[in-house]
Amino acid sequence: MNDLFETQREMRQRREAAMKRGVMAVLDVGSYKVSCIVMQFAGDDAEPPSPDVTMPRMGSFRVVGVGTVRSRGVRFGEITDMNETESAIRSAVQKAQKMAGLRVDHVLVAFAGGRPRSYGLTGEVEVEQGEVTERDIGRVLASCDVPPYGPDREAIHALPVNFSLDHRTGLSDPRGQVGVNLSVDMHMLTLSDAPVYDLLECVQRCDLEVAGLSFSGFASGVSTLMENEQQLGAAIVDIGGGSTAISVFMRKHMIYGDAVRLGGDHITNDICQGLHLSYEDAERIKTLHGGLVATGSDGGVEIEVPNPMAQWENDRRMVTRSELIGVMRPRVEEILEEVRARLDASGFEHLPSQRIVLTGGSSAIPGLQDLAERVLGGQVRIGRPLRVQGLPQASAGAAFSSAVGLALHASHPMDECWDFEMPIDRIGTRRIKAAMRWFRQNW
Amino acid sequence: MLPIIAEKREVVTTAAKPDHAPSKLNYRLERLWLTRWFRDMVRIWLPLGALIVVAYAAYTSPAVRGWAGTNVEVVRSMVAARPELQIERVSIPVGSPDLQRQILGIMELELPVSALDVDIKELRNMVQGLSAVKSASVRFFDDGTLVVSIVERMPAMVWRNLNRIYLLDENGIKVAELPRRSVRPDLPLVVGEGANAAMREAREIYAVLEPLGGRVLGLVRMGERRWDVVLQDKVLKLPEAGGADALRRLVAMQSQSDGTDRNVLDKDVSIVDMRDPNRMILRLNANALSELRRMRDRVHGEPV
Repeated sequence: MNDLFETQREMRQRREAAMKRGVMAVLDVGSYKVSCIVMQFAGDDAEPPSPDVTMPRMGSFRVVGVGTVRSRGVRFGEITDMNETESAIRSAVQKAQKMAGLRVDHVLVAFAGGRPRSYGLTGEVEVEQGEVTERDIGRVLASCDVPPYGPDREAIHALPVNFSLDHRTGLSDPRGQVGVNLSVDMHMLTLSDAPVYDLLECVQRCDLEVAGLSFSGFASGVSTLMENEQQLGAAIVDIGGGSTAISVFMRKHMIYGDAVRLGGDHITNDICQGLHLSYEDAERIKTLHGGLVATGSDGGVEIEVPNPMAQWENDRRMVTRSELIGVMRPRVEEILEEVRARLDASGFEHLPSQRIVLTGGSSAIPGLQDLAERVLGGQVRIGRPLRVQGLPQASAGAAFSSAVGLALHASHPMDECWDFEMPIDRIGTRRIKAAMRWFRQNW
Repeated sequence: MLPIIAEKREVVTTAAKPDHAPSKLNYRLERLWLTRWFRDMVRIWLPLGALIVVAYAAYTSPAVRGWAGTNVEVVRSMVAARPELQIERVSIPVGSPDLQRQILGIMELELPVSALDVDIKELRNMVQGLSAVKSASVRFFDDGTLVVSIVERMPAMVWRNLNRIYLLDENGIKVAELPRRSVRPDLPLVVGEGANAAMREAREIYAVLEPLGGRVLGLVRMGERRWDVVLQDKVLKLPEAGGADALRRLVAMQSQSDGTDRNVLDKDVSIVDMRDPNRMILRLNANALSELRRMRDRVHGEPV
């Protein structure tokens, strides 16, 4: 775990350095698109566009460049062709840089693949001297018994969710309080390390330094959930192209994260197969005419589909909208049922509020809300990310919720476990190891 | 009969054309271009440095300097030869013919001449340096005329000193030299060293002497401190301070015709000395003196 702590700390330092320099970028590598957002941190003088507009002051940054390109070489949120992905990242970053007129060196990366797995950890120590100090917090975090999550997995989030001091619980910051037994609930999210390293390698090949790595479900939650939803408990379902990220928020912390390896691409594939269309045509029909709830009139709505086998000009192929809905709906139901299963596994039904927010590119399918209410039950809404200053309208849709969330997260980072000092007995050979690793990496 | 083994067909792969993406070199170059210091260097410092180097090289190389010198000369003479810049005539709208001749003489212009070859400011200073000129302005108009506008000094008095005769303006500045006094009989005369420095007083005295008319010959500055008024047959010695006031009293006495017989200036007196303001001393002529003695002898019965 020390090694992980070191890399995460390095990322944290880079992020702080980037914040100091004022320019940072967010890179969301998805299965459908790669988008890059360049942010400029400009102190606290961000002005609303006009005096009668009140803007939520989420962080004092401004988006100065956005670049979005079609993603290549990514399936299920994981990289299958590194060269293709690298060139996609390059074009996205170049676009955003061109718009911003700034060179970007540090990027925060959002990642949806890698089969995330959530663990709830607890740790307990006795407070050293009456008051809880930062050192005690470091100790209690280090005392968490980490489950054996496997050799080929890597923890990317370890968020202290809740501190308890003796019989008092629900403390977010127990420093300075007096007590004897300090215990912590920590939420740890692990990913398969190979996809993560592939992605980091791709980013590094583009001469960019990774200043942070986040689970995209977490980032979407930060940008899309309202403050009260984050506080009382809500699930965010980010239906992307290749995978669907799920995370559950409670008391402004992510307490569960998971992903379903199904997404909008699978719907398109079904249309391809069901209606015998090319992938591009299927994507086009899905976005223009797609739907999930068939009504009586849909049977009469005929959609012309391209027919490559046409012999003469009047040889046209028509598909009714109800046919299209009939193809799309089972797949969406399947996705939502998977999500339902994951949410059930997470104990979501025990939360005080069970708001479910759907976002991501595929949440734009008409009728999704009805279907989701039927499958997931309870209160469902379609969420769009919070408005941030300078973000173009075209990039403010639900498809960009994880990128925007990452940007917001960068300006208001949450304390992660590795931000606290490790107790001395755990550090041991840390410096020597760090030096060794530096030599290995650079020589 | 169909063969059992299928014929090997050529597989047509319709691999999608890859999307446009910047090459790695392109990407790196663009990032380099977006780097602040690099951009500043290429856009500002490199051109500036090159410019400085070139300028320094040109400055130090004798060939370039020689070339530049001759070329600058050529261009300058070409410009100077433009008809627009030729001075063809000099016009002096005011001023006596004599003064005009004098001005033309000191300007020493060989017309036509290019305005670039003439230092107009220097010309103005020269013209203004003339004693008869109070102020001058020299302007060149594009019709080829050099206009010298001057304000002349107006002569107010004639000053004779050390056998030379000058015209003075009202402030005592020499306007011109005269060959003879009779050239300007209309102007009053002052004589003596330092007379030009006390012109204000002289003018005041002349103003007081107005009623005496033609009897006044002139004023003499004595020892650069006080004035003598020379009349045709008398000399009035004025005090250092308040000379005009003393004279004013005398003239007032003279003009009183109340029968008190105080009209001193009509008496046979050679000098009226008013240097002591408390008492006026008269020097009588020989006839008057003997007559005075005779009258006193008759009155008092005793010889003086």
